[in-house]
Amino acid sequence: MMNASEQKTILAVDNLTVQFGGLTALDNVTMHVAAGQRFGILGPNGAGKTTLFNAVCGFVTPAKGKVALFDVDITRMPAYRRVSQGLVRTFQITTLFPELTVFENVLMASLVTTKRHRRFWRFATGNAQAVALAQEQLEQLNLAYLAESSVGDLSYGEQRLLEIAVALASNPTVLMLDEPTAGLSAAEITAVVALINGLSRDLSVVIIEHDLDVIFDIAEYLSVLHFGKVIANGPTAEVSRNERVKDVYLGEA
Amino acid sequence: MRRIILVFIGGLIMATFPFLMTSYWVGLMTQALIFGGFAVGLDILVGYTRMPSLGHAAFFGMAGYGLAIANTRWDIAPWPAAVIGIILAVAVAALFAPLAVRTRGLTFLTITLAFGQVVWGLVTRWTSFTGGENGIPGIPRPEQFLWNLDTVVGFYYFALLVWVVHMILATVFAGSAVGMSLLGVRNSDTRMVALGYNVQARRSIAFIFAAFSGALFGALNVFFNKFIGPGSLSWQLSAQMLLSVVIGGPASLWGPFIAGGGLVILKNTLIGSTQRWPIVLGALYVISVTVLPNGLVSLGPKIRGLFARRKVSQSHS
Repeated sequence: MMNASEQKTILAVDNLTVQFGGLTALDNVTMHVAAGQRFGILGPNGAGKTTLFNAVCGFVTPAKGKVALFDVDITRMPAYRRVSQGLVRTFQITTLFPELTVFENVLMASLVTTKRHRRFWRFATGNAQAVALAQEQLEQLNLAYLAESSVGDLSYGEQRLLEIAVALASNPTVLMLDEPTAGLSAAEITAVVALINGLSRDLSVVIIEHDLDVIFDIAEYLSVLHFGKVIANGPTAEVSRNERVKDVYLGEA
Repeated sequence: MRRIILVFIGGLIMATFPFLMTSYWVGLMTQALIFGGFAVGLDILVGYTRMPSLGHAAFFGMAGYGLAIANTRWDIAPWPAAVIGIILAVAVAALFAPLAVRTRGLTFLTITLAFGQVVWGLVTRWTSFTGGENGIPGIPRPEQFLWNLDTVVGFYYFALLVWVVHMILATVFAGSAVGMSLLGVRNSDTRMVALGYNVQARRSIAFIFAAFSGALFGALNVFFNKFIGPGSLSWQLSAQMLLSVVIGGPASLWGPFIAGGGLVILKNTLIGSTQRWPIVLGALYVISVTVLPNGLVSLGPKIRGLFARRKVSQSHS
């Protein structure tokens, strides 16, 4: 059961519409994420899940609608500024910096979190706070032993974990995960699910997933997208019984 | 810290040159410091941020012309005139950078080339103010300094001092949070935005840093030659600096310095066949990108690799 304080809306997406030329990628999407909530977004390929992430995080400009974080309208806020407001995302395709070490990848994020990212008068590794935060994050995800490795030498599973470590180093209030388990082995999926379920309840998690087991394990609340429209919305158990959802997504299930 | 000590060691080694060389060579080394130093600054933009500019000689020349005009036309003393020239070039860079950095790759190359040509055109046509093709002669070296700058060796040590200070600035900048973010920007815009970095601002900073380096050594070059002409803001100079970064090894600072300085020395020793200089430069470029795609700085590991392979083949035979 959720108590009143947990139900406070942190991220409010209202009537969001995104158009690419004549194609309506998102059609009047409304979604309210509460504090500490685990919010799942489900939908077949091309349903508009990643477009929704892009619009919420500022990577595409919506034609209509509103995005609000802590009741502040951020619809027109530049994407990079939303990060310091606590809205942090990961990408479906790994986008780490292959030329940098594991540690430097996390440091790039922790420098922003500690507001040391504009310092040009000392070496990056001389910013003790940022370095400490990066190390802490690596230790938390059991990646510390890889700190000095080049990202190119990591396994795919390790890269996906590092991707989450980097996002956490940005100190999110709302963490948006775009298919964090895509392409992972069963064992690696278990590890990622455990990691996400172990995250502090101080942060809300919005997760796009294809793997139904994963999303049922993580999400308390589900929105189902189909051709850019929300066709179902509600607590996970309820949505999974919805006839329409079974039709378009779960098949016969 | 090791990186800064390395700069001092480099400076100390170069400080011995006047004891080992004729004054002709000391003069040549002064020029090597000037153009090699400029290449180091350009490396921040071209190597670290991967934005190939064909227009940064404009800032090299602009600072020089600013200095020369302030001194000869308005009777401003050499030191403040140099400051005026450098501020002028950096200010123009700060105005132009936000526009230029909206473009990438070839478009960026073209827009910087166009910018450089506009400045060059202005300077060559506005004869009454800039001296046109004849340039501006008779610019004195500063008189107030710790030592006499009006000798070959005296000026060499001054150039070396400027080079050391600039090299430390560039080394710290490149290794700083800002320098690291430039490496991030060259890899992935979206990623950097998702981490909370203002990507356009970062590109602008790199652009302005390279312009500042150009301006600094541009002013130094005017004091060295006591003259400025339109050659110092030509696209050929921009191209030579760009090639210095590529040949030397992008994002290594030292590589572009060695290549930038080396090309000046080579150019002057081949002076008998100046007209073939572009051919030599082109050939060097082709050889370096085929044999050493990561620049001169990859020569060390490459040689080591060669020996390692030889050992392997010996053990096989």
